[in-house]
Amino acid sequence: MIISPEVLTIYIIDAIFILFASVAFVISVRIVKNYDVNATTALQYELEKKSYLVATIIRCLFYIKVPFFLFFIFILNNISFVLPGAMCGAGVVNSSSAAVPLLFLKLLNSYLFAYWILLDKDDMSIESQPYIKQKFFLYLLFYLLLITEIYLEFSMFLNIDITSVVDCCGVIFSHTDGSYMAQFFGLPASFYITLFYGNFALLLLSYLVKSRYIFALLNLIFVIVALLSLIAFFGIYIYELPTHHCPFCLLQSEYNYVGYVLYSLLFLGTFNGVVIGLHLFSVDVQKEKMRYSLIFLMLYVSTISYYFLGYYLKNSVWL
Amino acid sequence: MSRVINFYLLSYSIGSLKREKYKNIFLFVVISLLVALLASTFFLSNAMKSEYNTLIDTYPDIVLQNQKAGVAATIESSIADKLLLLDGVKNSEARVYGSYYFNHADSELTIIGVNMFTPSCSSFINDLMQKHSLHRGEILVSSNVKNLFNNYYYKEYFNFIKSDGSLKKMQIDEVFKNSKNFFNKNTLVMLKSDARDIFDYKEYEARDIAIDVANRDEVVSIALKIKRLYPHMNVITKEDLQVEYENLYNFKSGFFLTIFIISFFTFFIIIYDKLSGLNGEKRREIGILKAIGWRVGDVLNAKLYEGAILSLSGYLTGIILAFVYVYLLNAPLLKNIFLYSNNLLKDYTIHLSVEYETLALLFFLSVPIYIVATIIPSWKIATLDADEVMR
Repeated sequence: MIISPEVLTIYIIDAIFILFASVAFVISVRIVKNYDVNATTALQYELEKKSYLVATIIRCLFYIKVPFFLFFIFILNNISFVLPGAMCGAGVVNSSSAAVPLLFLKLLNSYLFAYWILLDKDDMSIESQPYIKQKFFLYLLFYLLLITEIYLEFSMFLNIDITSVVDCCGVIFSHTDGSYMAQFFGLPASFYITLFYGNFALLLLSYLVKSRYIFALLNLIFVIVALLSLIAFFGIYIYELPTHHCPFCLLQSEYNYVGYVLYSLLFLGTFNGVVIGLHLFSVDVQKEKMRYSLIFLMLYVSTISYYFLGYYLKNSVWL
Repeated sequence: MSRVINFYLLSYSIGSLKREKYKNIFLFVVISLLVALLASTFFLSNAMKSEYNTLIDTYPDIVLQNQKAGVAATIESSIADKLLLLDGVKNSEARVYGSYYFNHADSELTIIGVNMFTPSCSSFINDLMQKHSLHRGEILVSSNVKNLFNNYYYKEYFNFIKSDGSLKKMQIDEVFKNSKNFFNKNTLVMLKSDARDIFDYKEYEARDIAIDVANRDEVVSIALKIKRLYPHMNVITKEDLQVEYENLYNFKSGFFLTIFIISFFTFFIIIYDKLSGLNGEKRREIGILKAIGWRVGDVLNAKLYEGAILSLSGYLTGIILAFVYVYLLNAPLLKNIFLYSNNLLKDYTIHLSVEYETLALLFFLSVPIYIVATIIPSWKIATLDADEVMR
């Protein structure tokens, strides 16, 4: 168990999340059950009013959740100074079994809540509100995910044992280890370069073709490809160290906090790309989303390439 | 950008805040004061933490302590020579130091015993010994201690009371400047033999053994080796101490935070209450807005903007206030809670040390919570029926 002001803050914000998300949940259940656009009852009138409340709550929760996620990662890195053996967030993640699912869930929830807000915005812009039941039904599912996330977060911080020794990232993401990660590190550089730049080239192509499903699918694949190639291959150019494969050390001051920039760009790019596959927007909005997606991903790719090519220009040798 | 923030709505919100001047000034003042109070305790505890860290940097890599019945006990000095034989040990020293309670001034003095010609494991002492020389029966005092002695008319010598009640008279030889670090401010230095005399140690006794290691990476394995040689003793590495202090200060400021959480929640209940109350004029305003075509979402957004402006400006003002209070005014009153009331530490000035996470933490405790607290009252206002209000 670990008590620091930062962790206490996380608990407090989580408690507020639970409170407000639950209010929204109860109202959503009523809306899904009883909402009827054609009815003229007092109940329908009340539900219409309350749908605004739910939408506002979810919007606020999301806008708090995004910087809060960055804060959470920042805290993970900080706690690593207290844990024996840990040198960055990876060590903290290693210290609790809840941490890995928690991170994935946090990531998933960020995408889902951002999607919900777009759905809401689109729904509100049309007079008949065609997606109203759909969006509140989706929220019921997202609520469960959110509660699971908060539960995992609590159990993670409660289970961290500050006296027992954990692995540092050098061990977790080790070449020689028999773990599944080690197999990825063994793959040749050309594999990652082809995969990463190839995927991006296909994205550009699908942008020209303007096919929304292909564009979304490629974006989805790009999330995985980008993260994998970052850990297994491009990361070593940022660290300028052929054996260091940690996705957390990027977030530390030694590397100018470049991780925050990279992960934010990746999120913004792929979210805008994936969301057009999930929902049919008007043509203008869809075009704009594609453009945004491409701009952010281009920034991501050029930042990565800057480190990758910059290393070669400076040292005239590949790692 | 104009997509994300609607500037017309923003200017309406500012106008709306101005219309209810006194209520909003009250809210603003309370937010900034709460943030300022919490921020100053954090700034202060951060400053202490970094002070400890610079102090720990001057510590030896490993310390070996003897224990008897769970209490720290003296150790045989000869062990230091045996430890020198271990591979990787650069230097080891049997240290004689401790605190001495100066009754009249109600102050703790720190006595450090030194050998004139053997290097110590403390860089602070090594630097000092290069500049000054010491003989039997002489003490070297910090300027702070010198002032204290002057106040009690010990201008040339000082009488230590030994454990058998007799007095030991020591000449005040030289004065060294206070180091920047406040933990060295109550220090006086003398030869080990004199220190042993005052502490009633036998000739072969020392308080603990300090070990310096040539290669930092070997600290842990050398600590293990020593532990194997002397399993009944306590082996403490520098890193252990760092973690311990970190935890101590986390705990201390965590304690403060829990107290503040209560005040924050009380405050947000007040906000909730204040914003829920609607006067006739406000109702009419909403009615007119709706009549000219504002949607529920617009009114709601305007209200949320108001909350964001108020809490963000309150947060920033609070942080600035805390900066001024802690770093410019040197945190009067609050400092005494963190420093125990030792006369010698009173003139300690706080060095600037800002941790980003503290700023982030204060942000999360004030701005989002305030905005969330305003959601339900704003929604109530926004969904008022136009016809009902206008009537």
